Amino acid sequence: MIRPEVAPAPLAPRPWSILDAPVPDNPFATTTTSVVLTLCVLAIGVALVLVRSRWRDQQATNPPPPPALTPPAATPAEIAYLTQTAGWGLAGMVVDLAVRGHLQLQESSVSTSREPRWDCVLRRSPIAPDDPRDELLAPYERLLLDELFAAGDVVTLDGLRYRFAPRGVAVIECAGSELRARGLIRSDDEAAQRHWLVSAVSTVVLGAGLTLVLARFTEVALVGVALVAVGVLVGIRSTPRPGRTAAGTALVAELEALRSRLNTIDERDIPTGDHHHLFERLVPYAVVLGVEERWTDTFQELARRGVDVKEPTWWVSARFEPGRYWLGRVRFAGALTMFRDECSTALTAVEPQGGGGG
Amino acid sequence: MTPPPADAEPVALGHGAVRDRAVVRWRGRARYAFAASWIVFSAVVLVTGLSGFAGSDGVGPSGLMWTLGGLSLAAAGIALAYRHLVVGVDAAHDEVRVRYAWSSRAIAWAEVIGVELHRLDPDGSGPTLQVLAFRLVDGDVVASAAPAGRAGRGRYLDRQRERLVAMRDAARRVEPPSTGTGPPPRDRPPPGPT
Repeated sequence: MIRPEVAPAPLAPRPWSILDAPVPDNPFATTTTSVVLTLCVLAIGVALVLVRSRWRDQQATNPPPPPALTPPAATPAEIAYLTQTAGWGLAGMVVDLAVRGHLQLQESSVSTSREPRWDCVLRRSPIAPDDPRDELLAPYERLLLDELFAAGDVVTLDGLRYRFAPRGVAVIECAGSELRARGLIRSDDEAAQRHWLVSAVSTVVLGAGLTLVLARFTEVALVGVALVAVGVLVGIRSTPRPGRTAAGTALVAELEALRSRLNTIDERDIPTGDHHHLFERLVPYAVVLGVEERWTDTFQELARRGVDVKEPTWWVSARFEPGRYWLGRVRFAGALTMFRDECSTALTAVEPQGGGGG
Repeated sequence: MTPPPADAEPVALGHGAVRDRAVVRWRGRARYAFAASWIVFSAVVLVTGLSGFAGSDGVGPSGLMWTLGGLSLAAAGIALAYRHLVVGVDAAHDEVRVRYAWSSRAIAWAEVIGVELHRLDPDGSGPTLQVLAFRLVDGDVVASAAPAGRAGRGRYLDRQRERLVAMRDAARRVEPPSTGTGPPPRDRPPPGPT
């Protein structure tokens, strides 16, 4: 018996779901629509970040006074914290402490496998606890001295390399606390930074999610990438640069004016009768502001013209003869710049990963 | 910190503050809305990632990218949702604990010389959000991440600050001998002539 062939009943069509949509061939296509939308997101995001960043520092109420050749109302370490230049700040602090008689700097060299390299010996000067110089030390200056000479009263920059960096950070942070106590730095930085960091992470996650969804269903996934980029920008903005109060902003403007003046100074600008001590009063600031070369050359030129300029007894070198310190062929400015560069590197360098132990 | 009794029942105090018998807790007032938003986000990216996996070459590189993308973003969304729920401030009779997403810091009331409001945004001109911050004897400042509120006298956050100051003062009255060397509270006016 032949059974009649029965055609199978057609299945009811499954309702269409958005998840059935095919994956686009090129989700990141650079069509006019995607490019315009991407640029819009980028422009709005960047504008928002810039506008809010502009308010980070309170504006100074008064314009800075004309720069005078006097030390500013902050130490080199405090300037380093304000301007986020830790290396030059530590070098300036060392010079400042040397000028004030707490240590002596002696040029030397260290032997390497290739050729001798310039180095500097730091020698702590014995100072009695009741010496007025000791009482005038700020807490972070005392900390720096103690940390520099933790291994003994004579150390070299090369010996401090790779070992000092964490302590240097502590010194600069200590100076930051002092600035905060003096009302030059905003004290609500911690909350603000955390807020910006969380905003950055949230924006990146949101942008990445948007990219995923847009890439699955459309060809304008570039918009999500733009949002990720905005989140990264917010993250960069959240880096811990200290926000300044109006007084802090005024001080930074004053420092900028001083830097500009020291960088263009010549012998005629030095007030008559102030030659003898002026060099040492401002040289730590010239170091931290990066203009020590011009400042030092100016006084060397003055000395060569017969003006009485105090010799830096805190700097010992076979290249400079006592009594004819400024009159030799060697420029002290070159030695000081070499010291600033080597010192800032040695006191902030972190040992490279996988580097030889030793 | 003394743990709350196991049978402690939370009592809603309004505006995000919840109290059990031992601890008063402050959390973000919109925490549930934020957490729900991130959970929805996680669900969307997870479903999108899995559907991308189904619509692509399966276990090939493209499918793997969809799956990993969806899963990792969903995990990030859950983490952010969790963060909104846990950050805040817990105050007990002897200490205050500032809770962050993955850590917390306990501060004895004896260490607190001031309860302040710190801006989340350095804009000093317009309306801005602030959070509670505790200034310590050693000069350190511990800022909380939540609750946040608008600046202004008598507003929600200012009232919570007053409550925390009252708790701090009550704790100091109970245990003054060990804290006699600390500076006086900075958030109270100096006593005037009687």
